[in-house]
Amino acid sequence: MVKMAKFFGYLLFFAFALALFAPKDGVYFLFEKELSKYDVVISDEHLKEELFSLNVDGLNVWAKGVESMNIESADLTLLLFYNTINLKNIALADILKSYVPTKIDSLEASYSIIDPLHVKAEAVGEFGEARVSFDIVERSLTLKLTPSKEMLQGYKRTMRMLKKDEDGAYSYAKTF
Amino acid sequence: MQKLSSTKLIATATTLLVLLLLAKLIALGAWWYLPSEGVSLKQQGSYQPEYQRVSFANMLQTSKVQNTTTAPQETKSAANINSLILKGLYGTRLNGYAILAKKSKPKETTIVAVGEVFEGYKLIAIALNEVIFTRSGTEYKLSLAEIDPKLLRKVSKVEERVDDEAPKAVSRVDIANYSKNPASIWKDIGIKEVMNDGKLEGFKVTRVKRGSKMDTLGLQKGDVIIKANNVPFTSLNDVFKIYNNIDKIDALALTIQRNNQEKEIVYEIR
Repeated sequence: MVKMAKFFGYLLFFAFALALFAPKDGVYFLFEKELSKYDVVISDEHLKEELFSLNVDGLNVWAKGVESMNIESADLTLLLFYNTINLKNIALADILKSYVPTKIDSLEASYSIIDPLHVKAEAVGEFGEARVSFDIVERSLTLKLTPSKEMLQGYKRTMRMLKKDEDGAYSYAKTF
Repeated sequence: MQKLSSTKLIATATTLLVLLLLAKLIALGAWWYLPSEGVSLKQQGSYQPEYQRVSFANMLQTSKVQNTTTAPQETKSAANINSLILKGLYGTRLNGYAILAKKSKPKETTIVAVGEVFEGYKLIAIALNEVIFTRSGTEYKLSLAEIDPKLLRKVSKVEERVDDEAPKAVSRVDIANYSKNPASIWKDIGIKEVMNDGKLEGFKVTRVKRGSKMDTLGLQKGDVIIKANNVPFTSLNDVFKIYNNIDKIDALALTIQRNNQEKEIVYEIR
């Protein structure tokens, strides 16, 4: 038992040491490179490395050459066992305003070793609240939306794309 | 006993140090492997400065314009600048032409390139709706002459009957309606990107709904729109730049490929 505790203690220490020394900006640049394969480019951002996280401010996201959203700040925490990305104050481009409210207050995505096959995310904004789960193996995405009044009344066309559940929430599923 | 515990402490410290060193080595390896810089956006030049403006209406109705053009505006007073009429302009800021005439002889137009002198005024730049001259170190701005809307309507009717390549009138009201409901655009017209080796070559018209506002634009199924105001499309963003600035644009020339031939369709937005 003592040996087991010792082993996990060392493992935890090693994980924290690795998170401390990891070139976080390099990981971010790799992430940017991977995104660029899908014609998504992040520009004008400022990077600031913290002990265990990376803070990125003022992100402008361009998809297929179109400015799609501005994100005030993003915090990436990489601890091997538990990784999160927190986005704050997201403003979607005006071209999307006829489909969805353009202000998103926060979006938190996390990946934990406890549930290694799923990436989970939660978002809160003018549209209401949404929970997203992405199955890495099946490459499928499920979204559960608790819509706001504004979303229900002003974006009926978008709401028609979602399926209403028995509990009153709306869901959407897509496989890639 | 003391000896034993200190040995244990040293062993633990050594293990921690080794793990620390190992983590640092892995981090260094990752640092060597990971990219040292991100992907930056290749910003294209602003669309607006490259904008080209041709006042076709002025060029088409020299005889009627005589009585209807307003006096050209100027920012600084000049002795003879009021005697000139700007009938049309074409080009980017430092590279283009102005079509000028004297008020006394409005039918006699002269094409003046940037850098050339007309009636003692040197043309130095082309702007959106005006040209800039210098004379004796002073700058003068000459704005495009306005046209009587009644005359413009008359010309449009003639254009529709006899000249398919004449500029087409587009109503700002229609544009505003499409802006309010973008989904209606895709009901009336189908457009898809044309890519070659990962580069955007233009936008292909896949369908046009008969009788719709889009049908009046002169676009046909199979047309590939390759340029707007002589600036090639390199990304979807170029389209949105026009879309976002449509309120500031009075004329738009689309270059299309139809039956392996390039053709230009000009729109006057009013």
